[in-house]
Amino acid sequence: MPEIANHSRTQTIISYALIILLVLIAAAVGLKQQFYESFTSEPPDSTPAGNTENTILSDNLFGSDFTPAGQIETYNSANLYEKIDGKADLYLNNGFASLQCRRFSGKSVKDRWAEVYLYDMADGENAFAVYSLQKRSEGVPLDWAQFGYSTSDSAYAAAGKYYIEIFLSSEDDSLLASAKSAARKLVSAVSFGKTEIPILNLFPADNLVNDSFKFIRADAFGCSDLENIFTAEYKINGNSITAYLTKNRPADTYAKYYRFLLDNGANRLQNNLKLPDSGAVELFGTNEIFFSTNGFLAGVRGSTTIEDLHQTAVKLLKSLSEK
Amino acid sequence: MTQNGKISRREFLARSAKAGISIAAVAGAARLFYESDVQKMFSPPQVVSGLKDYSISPVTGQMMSIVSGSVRSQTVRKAVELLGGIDRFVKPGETVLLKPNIGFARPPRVCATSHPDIISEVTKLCYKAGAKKVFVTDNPINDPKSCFEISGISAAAQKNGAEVILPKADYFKPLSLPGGRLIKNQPVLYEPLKNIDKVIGIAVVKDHHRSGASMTMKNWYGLLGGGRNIFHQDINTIIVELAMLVRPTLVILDATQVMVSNGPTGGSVSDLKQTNIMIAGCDQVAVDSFGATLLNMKPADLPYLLKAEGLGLGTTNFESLKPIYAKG
Repeated sequence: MPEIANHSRTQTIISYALIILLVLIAAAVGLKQQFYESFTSEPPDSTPAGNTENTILSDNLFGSDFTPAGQIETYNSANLYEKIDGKADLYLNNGFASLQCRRFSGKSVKDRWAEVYLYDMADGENAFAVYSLQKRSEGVPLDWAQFGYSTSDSAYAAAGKYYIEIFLSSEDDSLLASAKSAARKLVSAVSFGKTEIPILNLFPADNLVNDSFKFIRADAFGCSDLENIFTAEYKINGNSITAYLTKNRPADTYAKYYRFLLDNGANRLQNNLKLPDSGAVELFGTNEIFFSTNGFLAGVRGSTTIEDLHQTAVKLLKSLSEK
Repeated sequence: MTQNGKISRREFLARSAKAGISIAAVAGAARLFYESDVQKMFSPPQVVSGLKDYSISPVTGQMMSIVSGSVRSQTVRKAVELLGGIDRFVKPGETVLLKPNIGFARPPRVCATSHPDIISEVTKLCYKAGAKKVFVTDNPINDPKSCFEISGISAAAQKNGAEVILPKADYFKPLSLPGGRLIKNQPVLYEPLKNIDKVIGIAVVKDHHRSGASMTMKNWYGLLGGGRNIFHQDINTIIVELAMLVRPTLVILDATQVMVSNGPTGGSVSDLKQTNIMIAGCDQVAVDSFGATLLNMKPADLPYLLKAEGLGLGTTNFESLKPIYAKG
């Protein structure tokens, strides 16, 4: 009997323990539900944690007169718009990987500051694309940079897979000098040597406008079939000419582009290029010669005579034929 | 219990019955408390339906003014005067909300945000008309405090007695636009608008990578909360719906310097073009249609303008309103 009584006591204790455990679980579930995250809650923090402590922006890029202001902000493709809103698409459409930015303020004058944006664009071609698409016409080239320029209140560069922007609080010569110096430090820290974009070497050197290359990822000249187009500017007889080319396009791209031009009101012109897939048109005062050769689609366009265009087209064709 | 430690049939049946009752009770209680739709467990948020109409009666020949000049305080004053003066828009004792574009933490000189001189001048005008209180608000893209401070708008507002309302989570209410497709149960910066009498939109002409141009209609985007980037995929519709949602008393469009490239962020004066124009009007579609011309665009280049016109929100033929041209 005593043995039976002991069993009963043990069972009672275990039972009470189980009941207490169940009550605790129920209380925990209830408590958790009280803090249920509604679907209509505010958006997540715009500055998610990232591994930013060991980046180049941890350094004081602007020297001893400046101090980093605040934390390094990091953005990914999901929240880039929280920093640059409607401009995010430009980067997202060109292979954007991440953005880090940080402000550096003057130690003595807090209103004197610079904000650095370091875009990781995944590869050099992407970085060049966003650099070239935003290039300010008033920009003065940074003579030490492969791709870089400054304006009176900002500096820009593409280096390796990075695109760099530095914005200044004011048009201030000494601040701009600091920004250029910071840009140089950044460029040397994030890239190794020259960024190779071999296709740029295919543009003929004669009459080429220095540092005028652009890369258009999609919808070049309003045509959805023209993708990954590189362009360069030329000056001939005082007129501006744009040369363009793309490689590895589907075989029918030439025909599709020709159709696009005609559908948009282009008039055919006499074409003197001795090439089967080549054409010449006039559209709203702009003349254009375009052709397909050796895996490339290429052309020249501008508000100038067809003879001027032909001159550049022949050189471009020669360059592409040799490759 | 038997002597050999085994339980009797009777006790076995009794215990089994108790266990069964316990299991049934627990299962019944679980069923009772079970809710398949967890959201039903919470009181649904009250969804606001649209906003009140803040507009005033149109007056033929006083719908739009275009003033040339480089001094914003002068040109905006003149532009309002030409529409009949601030007394037409603000009555004594009324509360007024100014809605500038303060999207980015950028200094005023790069014109990525509304200019503080306009905030100063419009605030002064409102108080001159007898406004009880003037408020200034926006829900910036970047950190709100930094945006308000670096843009110079906090200082301009406070110096002239306007109250700055920085967005806080509880200022946003879910709102649905009657007839809207995108603005449905969408967090909107509602509290500052709730009890206000008049709303004045103050925007700047900017190139915009996504929408083509950012002007007075796009400026209402700053009233949206939540993950508003989802609307970038349908930018024209959201701009039109915002123009349906907000029927302002007056809109002011600053084109003293126009951001002609690299918008909407810009960042450098090299993105700007000096055009020295200030526009004021009661028809935001017309005002933006004129603004588009300063970016070398036609209304047809901006689908949201045509959509808005089609819905009767205004006219893209701004000349039909016989705008009043003057020098500031």
